[in-house]
Amino acid sequence: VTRAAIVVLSGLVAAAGCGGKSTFGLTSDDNNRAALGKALALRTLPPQPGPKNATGKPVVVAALSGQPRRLVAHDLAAGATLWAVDADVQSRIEIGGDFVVCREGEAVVARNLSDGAVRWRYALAGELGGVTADADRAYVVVARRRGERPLWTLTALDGRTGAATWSETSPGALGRPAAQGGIVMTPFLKQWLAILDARTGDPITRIRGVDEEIGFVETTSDAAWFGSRAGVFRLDGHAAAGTRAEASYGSVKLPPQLARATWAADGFDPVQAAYSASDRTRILWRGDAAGDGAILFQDGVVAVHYFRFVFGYSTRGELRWAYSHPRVELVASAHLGAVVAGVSAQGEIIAIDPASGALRHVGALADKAQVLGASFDADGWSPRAADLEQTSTVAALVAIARDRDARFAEVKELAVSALASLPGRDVSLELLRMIQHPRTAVKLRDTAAQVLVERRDATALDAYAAALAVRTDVIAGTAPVAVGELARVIAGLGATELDPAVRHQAVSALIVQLESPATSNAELIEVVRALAAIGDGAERTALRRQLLAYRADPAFGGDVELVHAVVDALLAHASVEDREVLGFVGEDPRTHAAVAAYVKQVLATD
Amino acid sequence: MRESSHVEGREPSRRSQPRIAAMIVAAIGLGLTSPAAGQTAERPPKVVKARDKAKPAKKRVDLAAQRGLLEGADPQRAVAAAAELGAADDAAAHEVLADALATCLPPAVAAAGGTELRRRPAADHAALVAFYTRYRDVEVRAAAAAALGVYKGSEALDALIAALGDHEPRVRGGAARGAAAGKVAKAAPTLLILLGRGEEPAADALAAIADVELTRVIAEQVGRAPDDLLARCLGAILRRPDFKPESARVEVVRTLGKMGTAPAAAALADYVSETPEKPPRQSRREAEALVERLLEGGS
Repeated sequence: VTRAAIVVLSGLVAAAGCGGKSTFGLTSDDNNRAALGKALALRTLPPQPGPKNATGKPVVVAALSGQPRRLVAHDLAAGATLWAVDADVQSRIEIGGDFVVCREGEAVVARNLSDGAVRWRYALAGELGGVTADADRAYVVVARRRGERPLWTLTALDGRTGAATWSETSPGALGRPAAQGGIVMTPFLKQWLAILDARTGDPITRIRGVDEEIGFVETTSDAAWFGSRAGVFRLDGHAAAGTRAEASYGSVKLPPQLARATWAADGFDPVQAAYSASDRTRILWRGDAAGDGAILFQDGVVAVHYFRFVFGYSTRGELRWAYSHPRVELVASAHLGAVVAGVSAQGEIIAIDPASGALRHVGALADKAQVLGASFDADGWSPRAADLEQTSTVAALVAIARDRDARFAEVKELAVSALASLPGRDVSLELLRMIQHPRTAVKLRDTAAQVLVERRDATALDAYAAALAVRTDVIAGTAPVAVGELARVIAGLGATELDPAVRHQAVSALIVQLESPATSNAELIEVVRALAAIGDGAERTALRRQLLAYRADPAFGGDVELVHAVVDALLAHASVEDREVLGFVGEDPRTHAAVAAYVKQVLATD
Repeated sequence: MRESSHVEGREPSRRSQPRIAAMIVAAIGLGLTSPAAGQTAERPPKVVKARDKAKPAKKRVDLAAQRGLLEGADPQRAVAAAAELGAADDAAAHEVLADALATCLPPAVAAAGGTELRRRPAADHAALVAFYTRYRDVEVRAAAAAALGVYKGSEALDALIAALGDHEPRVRGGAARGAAAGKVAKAAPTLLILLGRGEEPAADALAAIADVELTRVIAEQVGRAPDDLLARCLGAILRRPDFKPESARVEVVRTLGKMGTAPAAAALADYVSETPEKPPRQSRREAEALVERLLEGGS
């Protein structure tokens, strides 16, 4: 327990006068394996994964914008709306046995899952910290003040009537709860996971996070999970250790561009008690429900929902697949076991194969209003692979990289970087198009060029050459694009075996740019280096011409890097003629002083 | 060069100069019929007469001395030498200038050299001037493009047309002036494109080279090219003494009248003021009437 937590808790417990039944007290028998075993024994899990609602139908319930807002239940298997009602939805929606529950206005309201009719209301006496439900009850965390002190209450409400069956208070912050088969769990002061008997509210045990805070608890139909931004623990017998090393723990190192993605909504953030932007940056994962050691993620993959995009990453952090949703963001997502599902802001429902990224389902909510958020109860939903138009990972990454939304600069970079590891001429051509596209941001173009350099894809040399063969002509409206970048890419092929005809084509194109007055000095340097790298001698005449033509030009002589590049390239495999030219350039009184000095220097040391 | 040769412990090889010069000519792909630089290096000093409009008396030019200055390390003196050689009414002086240009001079000298060389255009210098239209320095390219119009042959023409597409406006302007100077009719389609884009030198060049047929094409640009430039172009055509017949001048006057803009009125007014009343011309009469009407605010 951190010193700060002890100090806070000591003060709060003293102020509260008592800690209820010590459920949320300072002292407790934390990380007790026997007590945890008892809690796990009390929990009843379904024989096989599936929706927890009484109908057994895979459903998604969505909150839609409007005046008033709407609440819509949709049967995923049937592709049909179950019902839609006006409802001032103000929190996440939880799906219980035969009811759904969420905050509506200033009350927690339960509605029939069958028809959406209001079943009961529970007036909120404070700020809703979170709500959850199991087959029989809803559980509500409310934060309020008693005098000068804050107080949190976890209350169980009967699913049929809304009557409070028990209530526990806490002087320290409680996080959004989760309930499963007879137990209810809530993070406590980000340090503990308190486990209570769902029927009575009696405390069973507490797990103390020893080397990681506990910011959320969630359930799938086959297991319960808790964790922080860093990773996820499975609630099993090993959890009593409280440490990553000894508990069943899993995490994946993701690229820094996806740093905003979290393993679950933060249970202590009141904003995240409702649907928010954080629901658009989520790690979607499914772990094995039992086992020893680290959690094994299903298919060895975690998916990352990032606004419009979903990426599949191996547990080693390698990109496996990518999906780019057309036009609008996905506002809700969940890993349902057989598929990763998402709902877009326009109400489209998609399902993606978690292993391959293939699109398995495309549907839509009947109501066309803007979707604010949605909750799934659809574990095991496995839509048949329909005859859907599939987008390759390369195409998806390219679409991401070309996205015009300026907010996604980092993700675009990530997409371009990811292309580096994917083989094929097509990838190189896409990167080339990206480099040459006038709207590509400078930083992204640099990244794409670097990726092309690293790919060393000689199969695309003809395309690079064609791009460089374009001449500047304002009448024809033509001009080469990204000359420096393309030259750098070609220079990277120096050690690669090249088709002689294509090499000739590339050298010719480079010479076009070498001798074009529109080529800047910075580009010239790259062009000269590329010629030196792949020229195989065919470049020497052009380089001699360049040196002779500009030896007296201050714009050339004043650019030390360019002078060095040309002279070094010429000297690298110098013929007798090259040396004679260099000797002349070094001695000619008209030669720019810096050029003459460098030529003399290299000839003296050669 | 001499000093560094001493550094190597030997006298500078004068005989190696022709070889290097020839190598440069070959390296920059000038396509000259002979390594001119080398040949001139071996020639004995020659004194020729120079042309000077201000002074009828012929001026003598010391070719060897001027060549030394032109190829020396002082750009200012080299530019002056280029002017001296260019003004000389002698092919040998221009050969010296061409030889020096073929060895790639500093930009300021090259620009001056290119300008001077056109005073006496020789067919085998066209490739040399064309080479400089691709040089990196803008002033050099502009000067070369302006000089190129007076050279004949496909190489000069191709280079001139290419220079009209240069990314630098100054070079395009130079090429347009070159086209005007050489009355290069084949440049007209490109010049019309530039006129449409509002480039003044193109308007002036078109005015200089337009015959009756091209003038009709220019007149068809009303609504496509900027009014002021079109009026400037048509007005300049109208004022050209060699532009005829009278029926063509009348057509131009009527086109300007239809334009009805202030620049068109000014172009007509200029024509009226610059054209004598006698012998009477229908074009002048109509122009006068149109100016009066336009000034009164009519159309």
